[in-house]
Amino acid sequence: MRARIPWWRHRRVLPWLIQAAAALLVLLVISALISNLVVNLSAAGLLLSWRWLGTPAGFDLGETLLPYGAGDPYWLALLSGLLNSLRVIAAALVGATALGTAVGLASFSRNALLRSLARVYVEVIRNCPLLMQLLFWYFVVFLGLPDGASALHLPGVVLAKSGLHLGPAALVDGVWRAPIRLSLEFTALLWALVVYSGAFIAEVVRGGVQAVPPGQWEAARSLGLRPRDSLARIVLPQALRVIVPGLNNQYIALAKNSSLAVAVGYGDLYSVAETTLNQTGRAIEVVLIVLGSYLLIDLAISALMNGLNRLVQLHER
Amino acid sequence: MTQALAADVVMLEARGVNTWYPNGHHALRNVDLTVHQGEVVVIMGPSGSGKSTFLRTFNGLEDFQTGSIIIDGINIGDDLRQRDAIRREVGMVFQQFNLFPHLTVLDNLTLAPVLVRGRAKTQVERQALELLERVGIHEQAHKYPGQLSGGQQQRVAIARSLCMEPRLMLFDEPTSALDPEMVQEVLQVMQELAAGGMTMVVVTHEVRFARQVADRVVLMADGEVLEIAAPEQFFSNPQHPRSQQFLSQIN
Ligand SMILES: Nc1ncnc2c1ncn2[C@@H]1O[C@H](COP(=O)(O)OP(=O)(O)O)[C@@H](O)[C@H]1O
Ligand SMILES: [Mg+2]
Repeated sequence: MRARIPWWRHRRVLPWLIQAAAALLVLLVISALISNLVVNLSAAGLLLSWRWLGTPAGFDLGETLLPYGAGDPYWLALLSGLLNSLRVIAAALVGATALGTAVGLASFSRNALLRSLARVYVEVIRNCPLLMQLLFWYFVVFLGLPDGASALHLPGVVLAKSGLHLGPAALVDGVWRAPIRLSLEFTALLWALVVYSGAFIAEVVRGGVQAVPPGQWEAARSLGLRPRDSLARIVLPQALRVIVPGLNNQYIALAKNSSLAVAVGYGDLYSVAETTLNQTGRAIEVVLIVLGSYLLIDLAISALMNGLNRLVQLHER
Repeated sequence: MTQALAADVVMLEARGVNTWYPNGHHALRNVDLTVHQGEVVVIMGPSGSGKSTFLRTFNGLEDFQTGSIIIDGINIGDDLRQRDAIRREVGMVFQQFNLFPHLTVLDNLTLAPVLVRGRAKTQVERQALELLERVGIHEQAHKYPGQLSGGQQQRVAIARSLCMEPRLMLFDEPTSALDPEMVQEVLQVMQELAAGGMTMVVVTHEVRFARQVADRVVLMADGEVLEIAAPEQFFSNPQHPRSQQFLSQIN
């Protein structure tokens, strides 16, 4: 029989004890914080209350997915704001991924002009604050757009001061009519988010492609694969293992950055919450709702990306 | 082309090739080499002498600045179509195998014939399984390269090249990254390939392989071809002082 090992030297017992102690400490800190909060709030006569959520908000929102009017309650206003946030986040994720991938791959192009354009774009955009860029796009570029007959139009797309019109559009009495109209605020915010996140995603893609050993390119070329096939079939699938975790960070950042919507008056969750807070004075409740919502959005993105990550990391040995 | 002439058909002809790397290093100095169809040429020489550079110019992985290289009647020039054609006809086996780790062994073999030659997948798969059987690893067809030993991986790499039905095979130190006990299984496959009539240019330090399989041995040093001789001649009675020096070092 082996001699008994004291607990502080036991390979399996010791880590378990350390974990238990750490968990206990975290619980203590959290309960101290909460009881402190409750004590302070009740001292100020401000216990958490959610009844105000049912009272009429009294303010209007420029655009909503659900039918919403000033007479509707706060909870519907906040929900409309959340949906507006989700709408711009989802569209920006898709756009930024497409742009970032294209620019990231362009930095490997044999065309020197394309390569330097990609570099300049990434460097300029990464080094300017997003808020400045958003204000520039909205106030200088988008608000400066012409309207009516002189608006920019391509088949199926009309960009005017009155917004972005998608689908077959027609000019009726000097006003553009189309199946889908996106407000100028939404369009400017979407554009700014796509351009900004696209630069960071381009760097993630570039890093991922660079992480694939050059021998993979050489083997693919030696087998007669054209550069496009080498990239699509050999290099990118391997680069994804590096790209996907990096994308996760950029996606979460994008979701949080969407709250700058308030700067151009797009009715996202944060801007609705700000108005709500000013009107109700329910600071803690509103902050909890906003924090919880962004946390949920980020967790959802992470869960999605972790699933994708498992998919691309799979196999190979 | 008649059968009688086949033995004299030139598969590769390099004339006065000079290569400078972008940093100015003069890696190939006026090298000439002619390889006939069905011939096995072994290139030897000290490290850094330009063997890999030379081999890699044969399928366009490295550029050269002056001279000419004609492979199977196709001139390696600036014509992208011709460069693509040469890559299809020339197979290359690397020191580090360079298998595609995210694809199964079978997919490693079938990818290029399907994508590049536009052949039917089922037909290529049949051929791939035959090739894997020939190199002795058909049981591993559905595994990933990371699950195989180095010797097995290199045999897969050879089979992958063969699946494109190349006219010329290049080997750049195919056994240098292998554990000693796996060297033989790879050389065995190469020897069988040579016996089957494949034209091969092989960079290797394996003297026994060179003696048994090579038709001619080329000695390179400092970017130059210093001696070309039949193996018996080269190993027993080398002419160039650098050949003598090199052989005394590896023995
Ligand atoms: N990409 C490169 N840039 C600059 N010099 C290189 C490059 N690749 C190889 N060289 C140099 O060229 C010479 C020949 O290299 P290489 O053909 O790899 O030799 P070997 O295969 O005979 O060992 C060496 O001196 C090496 O340092
Ligand atoms: Mg070498």
